[in-house]
Amino acid sequence: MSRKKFNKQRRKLLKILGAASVATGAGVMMPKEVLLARAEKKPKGKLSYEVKPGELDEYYGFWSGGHSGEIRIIGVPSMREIHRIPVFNMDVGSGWGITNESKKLLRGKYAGDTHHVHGSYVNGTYDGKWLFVNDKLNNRVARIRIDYMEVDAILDIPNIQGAHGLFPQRYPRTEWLVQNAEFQIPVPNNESNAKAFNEPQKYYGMHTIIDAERMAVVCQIMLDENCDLAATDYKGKYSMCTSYNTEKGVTISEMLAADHDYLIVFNWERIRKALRAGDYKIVNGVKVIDGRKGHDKHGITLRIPVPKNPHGVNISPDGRYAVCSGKVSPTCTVVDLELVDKAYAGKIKPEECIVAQPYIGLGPLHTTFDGRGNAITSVFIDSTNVKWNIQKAIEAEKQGEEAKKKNPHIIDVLDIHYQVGHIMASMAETKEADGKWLVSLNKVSKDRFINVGPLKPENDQLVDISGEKLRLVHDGPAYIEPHDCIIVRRDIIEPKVKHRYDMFEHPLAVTENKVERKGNKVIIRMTANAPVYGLQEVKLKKGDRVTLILTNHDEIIDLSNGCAISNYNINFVVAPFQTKSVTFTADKPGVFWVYCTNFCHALHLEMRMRLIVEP
Amino acid sequence: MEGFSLKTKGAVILFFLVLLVFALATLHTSDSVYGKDSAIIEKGKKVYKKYCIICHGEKGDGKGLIGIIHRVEKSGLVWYVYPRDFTVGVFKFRSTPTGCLPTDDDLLRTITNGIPRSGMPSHKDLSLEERKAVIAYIKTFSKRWVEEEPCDEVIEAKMPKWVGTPESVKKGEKIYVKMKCWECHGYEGKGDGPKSDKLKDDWGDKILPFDFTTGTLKRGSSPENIYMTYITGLDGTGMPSYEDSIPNEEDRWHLVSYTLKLMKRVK
Repeated sequence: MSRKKFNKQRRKLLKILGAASVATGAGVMMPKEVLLARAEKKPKGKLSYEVKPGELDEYYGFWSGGHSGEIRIIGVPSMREIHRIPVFNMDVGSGWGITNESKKLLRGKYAGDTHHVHGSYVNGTYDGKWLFVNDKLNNRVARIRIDYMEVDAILDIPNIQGAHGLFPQRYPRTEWLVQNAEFQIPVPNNESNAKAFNEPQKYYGMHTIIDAERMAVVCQIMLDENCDLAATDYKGKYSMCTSYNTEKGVTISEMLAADHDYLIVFNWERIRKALRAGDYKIVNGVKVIDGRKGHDKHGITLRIPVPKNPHGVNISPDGRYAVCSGKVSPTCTVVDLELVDKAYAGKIKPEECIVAQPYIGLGPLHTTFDGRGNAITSVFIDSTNVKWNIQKAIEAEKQGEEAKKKNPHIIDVLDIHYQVGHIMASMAETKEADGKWLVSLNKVSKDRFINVGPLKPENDQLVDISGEKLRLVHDGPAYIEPHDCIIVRRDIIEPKVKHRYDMFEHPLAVTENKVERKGNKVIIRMTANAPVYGLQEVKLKKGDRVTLILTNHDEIIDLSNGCAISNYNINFVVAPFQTKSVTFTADKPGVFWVYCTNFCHALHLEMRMRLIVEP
Repeated sequence: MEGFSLKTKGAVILFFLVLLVFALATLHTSDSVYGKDSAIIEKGKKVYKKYCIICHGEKGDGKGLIGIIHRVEKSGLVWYVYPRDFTVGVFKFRSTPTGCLPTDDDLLRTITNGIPRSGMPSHKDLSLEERKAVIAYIKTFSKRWVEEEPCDEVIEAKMPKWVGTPESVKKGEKIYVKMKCWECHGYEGKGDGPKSDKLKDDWGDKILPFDFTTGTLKRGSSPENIYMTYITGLDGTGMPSYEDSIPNEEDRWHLVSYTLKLMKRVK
């Protein structure tokens, strides 16, 4: 059947099925041009965030979940929470942390702190293959397959703490990721190096390079400085980190002592050269290259001084500028990446890469872009989003102090509610930044929602940035605590997302129901087809070590089956054609109903079978 | 049969002996199964009422409660799949040639293992006695079991070692094209061939050809099961038997090899 014909047929069918289904089906095939054309009809600066019942959002928002340890998928502009992807946490609904498959990835750690979700790239824009997210708490990086929206790899990174900024390679495609370590620690950080524990001068920061395909550490660049936020350029040449603790302080006073800290640039060609030359030490199984000032044999690092404790670093969509947000300084620092080559060659000083340092407000943290030459910076203390023009800031810088005082670069200042951390505009971390929507991830909501007790939600505010002025249009409460997000056009993601699992990708997929026993080891291989499990009873003996493998054979879209074992503290869900397994000891004699937890069928309540554990 | 007392076990063995004698007797008289052994049928009826009636219905016509409400959707299309209608005596999963009634072993296999990708569960938790009894009862729904002589031929699948090798896959692909499997199953085996949206089963209900790239075969996914489907056909559906059109035994297995390739189970 041709695609066209198939669509035509399907549309005919969808007409009958009602509004909700229409939207689901028709959306899949909606070409980018149609979506864009529809959006273009709206006048600039007056976008509607309303997504009517049955309509679909134009963007996938991938939100980190902070110390909830998860990722959330938010529809933009409706700001509806559509899905949660458990990552470093336990999710008793889906069974993440309960099933053998997820336990194998989590390796006993059920707490995490996700900060930065980023997608894999091809040629400077998302390819819809993977998401990556860091865990600041247990120093891990997880990879999420976009086709299943499910974690498929978790990497433990040695020699670091405070795994903060993470960014994938943007060009030509994501082969490497960089992961920064915000907390300096002894290297190695174990009893073999106990003498360093009380000598903070022997604590180090790390810039870790990860192979995205293998999910393995390529190498680490060891620094005296700490490594906070991360960025990569659009040419596949450099990665970057901001460093706020160049002082190697261990108290707030010490960390804030210096007037200048750094934007540190890493030269990838020189990293490869050092690896080829074998100029590294193996520490805890990974290659550690010395990038400290005075020890950087291959000249990998370039330290560009920026004022006092900078925070975010973001690259303009044209790839030209890196913008460091000042945090303690009320300014942003604009670095011209075209000058960085010259600095590496020693033709200019690192600080000469800076082309502007405009005033922004009190506490600038992160900067995003509208793709029309403007930057929008989040300002924490002022509780504002500040829109400013990069070229005007550069021109004023050239003209001198008098011109700068007039702040010609500032276009608009928007009050937000309250205390903004990250902000992100639609597609802003790609060369396809489209300047339509911006999300201001505010840390504090105070009076913006009905009072739900002392622990309040965050407030993710939606801002229309399509016009000259910033226009606040929507408040969205969020459970603790999204740090960062990306907003990705639907046509990039949606065609990659599957409705069903590839059944035989799981080596244990069950096609025949059976119970196998070897001594006290029992394997129950079972299918699920709403409203029945493939077995109606299984007899066990007290003390049996039981592995239950369940495959959902339902091919109906959205027909997931649950599997809960009464009084055995086990619950998980299998989506269409998915297989999951659990292992437990049948330590309580009795009759235990296994039942479907995920509403599957008109006879869902009857979907149950017995485990009979004999004494 | 864990949990059975010794006494019960003895009773079961005794029962089988009786059953065996009885079976031998019926074999020789070549008479109707029902009428002679109403006790077994009565037993089968009880099993049927406990386990089967909800889908297959009181009359055995596949119009039980679940049959009415179960809905299957694939590739964005929605249609209804009813449980087996025993009243016409047509069965998909047989070891006998197309058009023939299945053997008792065939029915036993389906009842025992269930049918993945459908609502038919495995019944391994039922005793052999119960499963055989229900077979006897199922046979009372269609006159075919009385009126027709059983077919003598039983097809066996003996898989050669080379099934799944690249050479065999290559040869199988040519057969797949020549036999026009693609007309229904599509060139990539996705069940989206040009005729795929026009198929109906013997009951006039819409059916779609199997998508080899995902999910599992209802008969079972072993190479032998695939072979059996090709040679016996799936009576009552659009899937014909290739027993005559692929006379060469090796060619049949080459086609199985190519099928395994489509299922991504060999390279």
